Amino acid sequence: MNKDRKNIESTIREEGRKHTPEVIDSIDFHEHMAPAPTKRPFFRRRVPYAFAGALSIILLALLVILAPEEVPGDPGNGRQPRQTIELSTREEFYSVTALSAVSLLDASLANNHVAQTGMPYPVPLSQNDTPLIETYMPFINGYMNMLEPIMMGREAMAFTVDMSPLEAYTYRIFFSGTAPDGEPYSHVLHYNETEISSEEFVIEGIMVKNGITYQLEGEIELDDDEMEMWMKATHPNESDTYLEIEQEIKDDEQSFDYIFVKNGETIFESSMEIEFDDDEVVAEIEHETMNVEIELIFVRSLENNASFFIIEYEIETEHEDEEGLITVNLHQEEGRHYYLYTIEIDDGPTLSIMKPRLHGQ
Amino acid sequence: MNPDKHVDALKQQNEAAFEAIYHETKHAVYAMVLPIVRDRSLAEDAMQETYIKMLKKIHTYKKRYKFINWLLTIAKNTALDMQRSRKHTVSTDANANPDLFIASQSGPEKKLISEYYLSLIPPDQQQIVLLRTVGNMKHKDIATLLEMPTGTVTYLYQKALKTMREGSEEGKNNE
Repeated sequence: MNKDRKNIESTIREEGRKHTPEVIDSIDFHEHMAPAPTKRPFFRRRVPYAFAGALSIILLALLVILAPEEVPGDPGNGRQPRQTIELSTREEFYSVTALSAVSLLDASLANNHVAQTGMPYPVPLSQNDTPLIETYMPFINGYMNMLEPIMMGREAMAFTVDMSPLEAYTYRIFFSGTAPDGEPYSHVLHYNETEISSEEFVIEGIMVKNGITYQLEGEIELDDDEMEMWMKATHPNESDTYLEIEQEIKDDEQSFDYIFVKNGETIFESSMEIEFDDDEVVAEIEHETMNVEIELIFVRSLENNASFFIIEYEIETEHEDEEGLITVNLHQEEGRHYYLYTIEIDDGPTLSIMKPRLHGQ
Repeated sequence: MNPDKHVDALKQQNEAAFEAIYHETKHAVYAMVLPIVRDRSLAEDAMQETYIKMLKKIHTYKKRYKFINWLLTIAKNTALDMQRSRKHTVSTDANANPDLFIASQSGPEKKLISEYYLSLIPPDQQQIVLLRTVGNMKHKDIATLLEMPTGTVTYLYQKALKTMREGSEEGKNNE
């Protein structure tokens, strides 16, 4: 049956491409190519902006003069109320980002083949007939376990804030939750916060996780419903081993960029975007390390419950490329939970692989 | 497929860049326009007009969008305009066997197997299948182009393959 599917796809692809018409010779490039736009001289470019600037100042002055005496939240002393973000929102971002940075740093040092050996990933060559996806299933399963609670909208963390007992720091955030494996966790973040403006803050501090102290530094910018945050978690004993996160949240989209550096050398760069729509949640991941580039698209469809998740993947190595589609279903066996991955490799075989699911529900 | 790397050169009126972009995108453009106009010679016209519009509008292209998606949006709109202006009706009969890849004058002995497969599915699924196979587009990019959820595109693609497979088996059993 799968051979028939591959034959159908291959047939349509080959015949369609073979019969694609050639129209380039009928297009006169020089006749239709648009001329490059001419740049306006500096003065003529600037004048409109200067004029707009002057107009803005005039309008602002008029607004101030004509503004009503009372504005919502006016403390009554004639000053405009300051727009501030609630303190708890910043602390939540600090906690989540700090935990992500430190956890990823831990996991990367412990599990990353390149970080441990300094060698590129062992890449099976095509003559071994081993699909690339088999080598990278642990990597994909790791993301599946990480994304399931995020994309299913499950709350995972509670936190409290008080003054830090440590002399070097002002604040302490104590936060706890449930790890993907069902085990409870709790960590502590001690930090100082410096206000750059009403919307920008800088933090520096430490996070104690499993008895190990990690140095942290970060910056956050909050604007209405948008948040941008940068944080760096540094290994306690190696100052040039660290993980950096840049995170942006707006409306129904979240994006994360990670860089993992060991002994001053970049081991991997990874980016993730998650988009929440009414009928589906889509996470797009790009991961680049030494000799391998991996692109993954996780889709959780809320309107079609035929499968738990769908994953499109593309793996590019020095020697070969591979792409395909994975449908993910849940499986339980003897009290243990698994993801059942059915992998349809483009122009290749179909595989079925089971991997542990850390979520106990 | 990565036409984005040639765009800057094309904006500098580099003809070699245009040729590179053309060869990297022609299959996807064909896959986009063909299911809309449902006629090979009209698809050729739509392709030609698409690339001419691309040349004329290239300076309006913004790098924050994928180039292929920008180009295929031009292709889609061109094909729709052409279909409307020529007053061709899109056949919704799933049993219709349009001569999609070859001219109808070629005769029955020249019919392609792929055209038989495609005749088994409705036009909206034909579009998705052609963009995926001939155009080598990802489900997510097809979803953006067709303005539908990624999950729906994936579902319809799987459904189309299943229909074509079952039709293929039925055809073999009837031989």
